Amino acid sequence: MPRRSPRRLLALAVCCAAGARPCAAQVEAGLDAAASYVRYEGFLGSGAASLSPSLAWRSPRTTLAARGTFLVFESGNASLQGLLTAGTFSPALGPLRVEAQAEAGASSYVGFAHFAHALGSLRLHALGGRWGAWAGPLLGSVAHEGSGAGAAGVAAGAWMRWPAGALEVTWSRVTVGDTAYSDVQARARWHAGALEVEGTLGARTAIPGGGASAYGDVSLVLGFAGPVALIATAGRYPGDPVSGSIPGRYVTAGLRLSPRHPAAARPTLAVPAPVRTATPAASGSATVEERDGLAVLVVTAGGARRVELMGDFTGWQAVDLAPGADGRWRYAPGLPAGMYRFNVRVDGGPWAVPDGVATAADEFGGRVGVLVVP
Amino acid sequence: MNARLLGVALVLAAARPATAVAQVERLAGRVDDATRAAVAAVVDSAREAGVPAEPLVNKALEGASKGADGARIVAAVHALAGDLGRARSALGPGASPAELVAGGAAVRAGVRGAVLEELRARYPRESLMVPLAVMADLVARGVPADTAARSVLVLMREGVRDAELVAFRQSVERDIALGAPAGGAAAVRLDGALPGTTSTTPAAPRKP
Repeated sequence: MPRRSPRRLLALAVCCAAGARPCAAQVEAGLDAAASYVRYEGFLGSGAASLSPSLAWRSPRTTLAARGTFLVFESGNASLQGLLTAGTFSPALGPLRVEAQAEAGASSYVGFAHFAHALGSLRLHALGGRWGAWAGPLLGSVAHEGSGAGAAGVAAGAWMRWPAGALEVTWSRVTVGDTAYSDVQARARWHAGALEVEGTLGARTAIPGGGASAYGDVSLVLGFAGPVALIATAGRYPGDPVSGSIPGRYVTAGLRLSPRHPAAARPTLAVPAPVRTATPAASGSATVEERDGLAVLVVTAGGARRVELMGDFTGWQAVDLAPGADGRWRYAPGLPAGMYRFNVRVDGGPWAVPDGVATAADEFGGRVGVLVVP
Repeated sequence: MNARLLGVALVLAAARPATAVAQVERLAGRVDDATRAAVAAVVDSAREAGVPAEPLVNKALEGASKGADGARIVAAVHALAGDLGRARSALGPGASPAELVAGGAAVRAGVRGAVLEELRARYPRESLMVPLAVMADLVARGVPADTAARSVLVLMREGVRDAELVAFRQSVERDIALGAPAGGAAAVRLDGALPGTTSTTPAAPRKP
């Protein structure tokens, strides 16, 4: 077995840590330090301080992530939570992909209660350029103070995304032991520069044994000094029979240290948010660079092996884009001022419109990207 | 000198049909002969109205690459020729091909020819490609055509030009994406984009 030299390993690590495109996989790490006020329903409110480290490894199709939270309340009692998640996508089957997910978590309210769970799920995704929908079953088990219960359910969702934001709507029905509940949830994310805002609104429907409630939160992440970002979040979360958390209201503010993307993960408190696997981009995103007075079309498609383009400027013949050292794909001949129509295809998938450009109906039953070069 | 200029004009006049022919030749091997002949007829007719051949041939090539049948290709080319012709009438004989393409897209989206005429009258020497493209895109995103036209006209009257117009379009796009009514988003962003009015602080995300 060949041995890698320390220098080469160091270069690989630096490359990945910097998020350089030539690496197929990226490592992201972060640490949140925050002060909170939390009021669990049925309990008195309390101040708390928390540390939440996170680590994720992402390749184009697979994500492994770990997240933990150590929380100390005013009383001196502490809470410890941990969650491991893994998810992987199948190769594209036309517009479809299958995703397998697994997660395992544990939480301990010291001297009070201990929970653990393990879940697996399958999802069938239908993916368009800027939208997607998925559905699938989940199955697992939950342990509480030495007693166990099965967990099973189904979930479905749909999402749309734009260069500056995304919207996702999900529905799930889960049964844990003799408790059943359904959730309908909408989540919107928006970002501009160093600011990212995310809001969640959900409703738990009344099912015998599951209770009913509405919940939601708003989170802000504002990067302001290199790898440091301000984080703030407030809201109400429902009880979670899987992870054992009880419903509560909270306000949190703190700092996030994250060498790569300060806004990559939302702030958390007592209930770790599900770590979501990356949604594979069907057609990447497009931007324009200026070179010698001409516009160069640049397509970013993480993990793609081949990116093709056809448009007014290629006579509507498919041409292969050239990958650059930064891992992005460029149409080398520059474009003069004008209005151009084009489509992009990634890894032999369907011709689509990448994020970042306007779209229009193409009169042939599809969509076409419209690029305006001033 | 005058004789030389006349000679150049004659050469250009003679070359124009050849250019159109060369454009139609791009269809060789891409569409069947009947479709090619029908497209050539549309191109010839449009050329007489001052419409450039290239966007028409590009439309046919797009249809061919997307597997459309001949009838659909010819219909799309014919519709585009009509849009470009209306844009040409409104923008005048000095309009550039890029302006005509953007103007045709705006007309297709529902912008009235009178708006194009007003733009040309106000800005006879400026390229209107970006303003027209922004109008077309706003309408495509659901902004009423009159609101889109008014927004661009008002912004240009206030001295806003290409880069700011593109930024305005992007702001409206974001607002619509996060749930704002299209017409309302354009109106709010118009107020924010006008010099001397409210700041352009990003709108808080709306609850979906």
